[in-house]
This record gives sequence, C-alpha cells and structure tokens, in this order.
Amino acid sequence: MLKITDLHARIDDTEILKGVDLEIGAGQVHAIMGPNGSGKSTLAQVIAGRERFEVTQGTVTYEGGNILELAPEERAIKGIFLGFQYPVEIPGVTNKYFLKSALNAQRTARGETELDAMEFLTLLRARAELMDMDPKFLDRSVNQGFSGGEKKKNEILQMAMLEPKLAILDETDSGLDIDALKVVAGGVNTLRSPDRAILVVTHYQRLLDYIVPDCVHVLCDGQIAKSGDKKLALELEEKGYGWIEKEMTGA
Amino acid sequence: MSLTQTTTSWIEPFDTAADDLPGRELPWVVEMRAAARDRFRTLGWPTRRFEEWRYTDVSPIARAAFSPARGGAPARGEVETALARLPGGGKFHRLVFVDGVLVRPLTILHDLPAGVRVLSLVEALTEIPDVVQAHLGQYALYESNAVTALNTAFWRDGVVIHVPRGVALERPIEAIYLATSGAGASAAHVRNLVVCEESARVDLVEVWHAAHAGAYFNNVTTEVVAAPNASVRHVRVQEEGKSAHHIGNTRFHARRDARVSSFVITTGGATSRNDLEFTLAEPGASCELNGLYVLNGRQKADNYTLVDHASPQCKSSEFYKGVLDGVSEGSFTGRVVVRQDAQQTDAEQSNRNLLLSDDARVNTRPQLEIYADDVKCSHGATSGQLDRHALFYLRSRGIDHIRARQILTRAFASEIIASIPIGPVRDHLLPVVEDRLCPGHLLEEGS
Repeated sequence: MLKITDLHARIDDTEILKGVDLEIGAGQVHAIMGPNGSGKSTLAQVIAGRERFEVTQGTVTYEGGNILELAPEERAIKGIFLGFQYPVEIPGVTNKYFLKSALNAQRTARGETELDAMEFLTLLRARAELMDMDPKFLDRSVNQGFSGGEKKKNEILQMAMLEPKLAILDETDSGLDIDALKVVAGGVNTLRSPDRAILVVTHYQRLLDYIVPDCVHVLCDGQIAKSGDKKLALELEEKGYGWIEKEMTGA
Repeated sequence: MSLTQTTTSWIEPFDTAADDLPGRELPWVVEMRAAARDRFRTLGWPTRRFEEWRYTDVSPIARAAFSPARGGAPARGEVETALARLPGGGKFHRLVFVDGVLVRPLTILHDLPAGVRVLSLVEALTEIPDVVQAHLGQYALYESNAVTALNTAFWRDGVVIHVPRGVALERPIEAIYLATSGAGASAAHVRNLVVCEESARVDLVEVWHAAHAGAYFNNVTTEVVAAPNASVRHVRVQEEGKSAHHIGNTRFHARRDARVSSFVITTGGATSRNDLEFTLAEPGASCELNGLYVLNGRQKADNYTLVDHASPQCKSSEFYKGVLDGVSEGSFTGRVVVRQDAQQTDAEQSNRNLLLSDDARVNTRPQLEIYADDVKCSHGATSGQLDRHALFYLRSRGIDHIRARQILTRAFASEIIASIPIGPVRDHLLPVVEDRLCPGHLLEEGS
C-alpha cells in the first residue's frame, strides 16, 4: 500500500531524512520507534504533505502512485490520515463543524453524496461513544482547552469518522495516562482491517502492548537502522537505543 | 484647495440650506448651532498632524463637494429592497431614515411600555423639548472636535429615545439609515440621543446602509446617557457603500452602577472613522466595547476609542478585531485614562488583527494613562497571518486550501459577532461578513 524508497527530506538547510526505505502492506500495522530527533515526526509529516519539509530525493508511492506532488488535501482524499503529535487548537470552529466539513469535502471529492445533518450526527455520536468522549466536546472549538488526553482522543475520533486507508499516528501515546491510552488503542484496534494499514510512530514500547504491530522499525539519524517483529520493541525497552546507534556507526 | 477653502465650502452650501433646519424657533438650538458653526470655521477640518486624527485622512471628504442631504422622496423599490436585507425583520421597533431624514410611514413601533418615547429628533424638539435641551450637546462637545462642530451646526434629523425610570424595553430599537441614489453626492449630519433613566434598559441598533454605489458622506453624532443602574446596549452596523465616507462620533455617559455596551461592526465605506468615548462618571459604572472591521480593496477604517475612568470601582473591557485584505488599512486606538481618584479600576483591552494580504496595513496603539495607584489594567495587540499549523491541520483532513482559509478567517471574525447579544443582528452579520471575506463563496451556516 505504501512504499518509501530512499527518501531524503530537509527543513531549511538541515537534512533530517537521509534515505528512508519502508514498505507497508494492506492489513498491516507497523511501528516506527527511535530516539528524539531521529526524524520520526518528519517522516510522518512528509507522508501527509507538510510543505515546510522539502523532499530532495526518493519516492513515496501509495497504492501504486507517486504522492509527493499532491497537496495535503489530495492525499487525505486518497485515504491518508495523520494523527498529530500536537493537535492544533482552532478557536471559533466547533469540532462538529470541522468534522462535517472534512468528511463532506472528502466525500464530494470522491464523488459520493454528502451526509446530511442527521446522518452526520448519528455517525458522529456513535463514533464519539466508541472513543468514550463526552458529547459536549463536539460543540466545543477544535482542541481548545482540551487536556492532552482529550486532544489525542479527538485525533482518533477524526480517524474513526474519516475511515482512512492509511493511518499514520504520530506519537499518539505521548502524554497519555494508562486509561486514556487504552481508549485510544481500543479506537485504533477497531479500525484494523485487511484493507487498511496503520503506521504507529512512538517513543515508548508501552503503546505496542495494546496495538500489537506486525513490524517494528528503528529510525536513527534519518535512516531505518533496524527492523524486526514486536520482540524488537521489547529489546529496545530493555536496552535503549544506544546499541543500535553504535551498530550503525560501526557498520 | 487650502484648508480655509475646504472649511468655507462645507459651511456655505449648508448655510444656504439652513432656512428649513429644525429648531429655528428654539433660541437654545439657534445659539448652539451658531456657536458650533463658528467653532468649525475656527478649527477647520482636522489634519493627520493631530494625534487623534493620525490614522484618519479626512481630505477626501474635506475636498469633496457634497450637497446637503435633505431627505425627500426616494426612488420606489430602492428602500424596500434595502430594508428586506436588514435585521429586525418586524421583530424590532424600527425607524427608517432616508438620506438623513425620518420617513414616518416606515416606522414600526410595537406596544411601547408607558412613558417610553421613540421618535425623530425633529419630533422630539416639539414633544419632549426639555429632555432634548437637558442632554443634547452635553456629552459630544463641539469645542474640541471639528466634525462634531459641523454636525452640531447643521444636524437635520436623527433618533431620540427616552426610557423612563425602571422600564426595560424588551425589543431592540433599530434605526436604519439609508443612502439612496436620489440624494446622490450629499452629506447628512445625523444626530441621535438616547436617554435611559434610572434602572431602565434599552438596546439600540444603528444600521448604516447604502442603496447605491456612489460617493456620499454621513457625519453622525450619537449621545447616550445611562442614569444610575441603567443598562444600554448600542450596536453600530456600518455597511455603507464602497465610495462612501462615514464618521461616527458616539459618546457614552455612564452614571453610578450603569452598564453600557457598544458593538461596532465596520464592513463598508471608503473612509470611515468610529470615534467612541465612554465617560464612567460615577462609581460602579462599567462598559464593554467590542468591534470588528473587515476591510478589503482600498478601504480605510479608523477605530478611535477613549474610556475615561473618572470614578472609582469602574470596569471597562475592550475587544477589537480586524480582518484586512487587499490594500486596505485598519487602525485602532485604545486610549484609557484612569483619573487620580479612580481607584480599584479594572480596565482590559485587546486588539487582534488578521492580515490576509501582504499589502494590507494595520495601525494599532494602546494608550494607557494611569494616574491612580490601585488599578488593574491590561492590554494586548497582535497582528499576523493565518496560523500555518491550523491551515495544514485542516488540509490534512481533506479540506482544500481556499476553504481552509475561509473557515479560519470566519472563525477569527465570528468571535466578535458572537459577542453581540441580539440574535437577529448576529444572523444578519454572519453572511455579510462572510461575503466580505470571500466574495462569491458564501459559506454554509456552521452547525
């Protein structure tokens, strides 16, 4: 579903991604781990189309097509979703209005009919319940005054509403207590399906107890330094990242 | 043209038309007009060298040759079309002024509580002369303000509201001022007066609207007096024509425990100035000033506000926002004076601006003069562009770039509109403002 080849990206004059190779098939869950500053968030944002990062080399193909020339909204319409590490507060735009605009923009672009107010509300209430979210959050401005946990739940709610084919979750677990983590992981797990791929970017192994990955990759200094199955995450938990960094420089 | 020439050219045509100005039989009116006329001659049009007028360039007005607006018969259909677009919709008490003069048959007054008077200034001079004489010209002083002097010398009509003690008016009063093509390039000097007696309550909505696209000038002075414990909410919706000029001077005088609020929405006019002055004259008085200016093209709008904390334990809160596109220029001055004995003053102020184009300009200046020592004063001013993070956030959810900009701009502006406590005014303004934000792309109503 997603194939990344020799991807290089920079911001201003700093090269952050230095040749990433990664392939994720439909139905799979992959985790990307790595120390701070290794380029995990950059990779997530480059896939979603953040313009402040400049891709200087390599390709990103999604469902067989190159997506690097597409605007962020075009990628979203094709089914790519980014769960933000730091969800943005938007005063004056209610969650409901935001979600309805997004969902109907995607539906229209795909040639589907827009949901009317009733259909939309029914769907939204059901999904909010799944996320254990108080309905009052739906009428509040997007993420404004939300706690860290509420913001992350809100990301997963958006994902549940938009039903993407490829979901990239950028440190969705950071700053969550264990109860919120379980809810978020539960939301992600209900979306697991044979025709959907999920890329989980995380700093902590803890999340992977709840969202069990098929594959774990370690990103170090802008490159995938090591890949393995879920046992790799446990090994990292035990030994830290130091040994991989050493392995890399030694190689 | 020299300043003296522009001054003369503004006096002479009005002198010629003065034979039918109202109040000729009342000596106090005649004297006040004469003194104000002399004062205007002495002061002349203000220049940008004056600190207060630094951001209002009146020369396009001063140099124009506008004939005096005298009301008269508007082209049929013009008024009806305009009225259909305005708020109120039969729910408000309504007075309609066409080219500066009340059109009596268009007045709608529902059951007014006993003692409440809602009339034109011309009618008020005959029917409640004592109220008018006691208040007119007492708060909007012409000695130091040339534009007020011009208004005081030549006003022809306006609305007068008198709410007696203890009476709360449930329905807002709407004063609609239409500029029609019949009057053409004309100048109207409109004078309003609101007197709200002890513990009474009233809402006034001024709507300034053009039925034609030509140049004209509205020079408005509104005086609002809130007696002890009274409550007055005043909304100004300024949607004049693209080539029009508008200067509004509004003076609020709040006595003990009175509460006055002002909401000023500016979307129209080539040159416009909203000059507000609040005197918190006695302890416990409070005022709220909210404003929004949405400008594009070559529009220039100046919001000049002064809050005079003249007494202890008074509170003021001021919140203005601007959305500027094209080569427009928006200005905000928030002057707050806290007098020496005005202890326990609580004054807050904020001005935030959103610049949608590289060529739009904003001038913002907080001016706090604090002479008391036990006060709480805060102020803040910002100007910037749309938040790039928020734009990416919306786009990453499938919302296209143009619509993402619209949603964020609307959200920025809607905060001020949402603060207006009168529903039909909010309902009227949202599409008007959206239309200005994205011509041709009216957004669906948010739910």
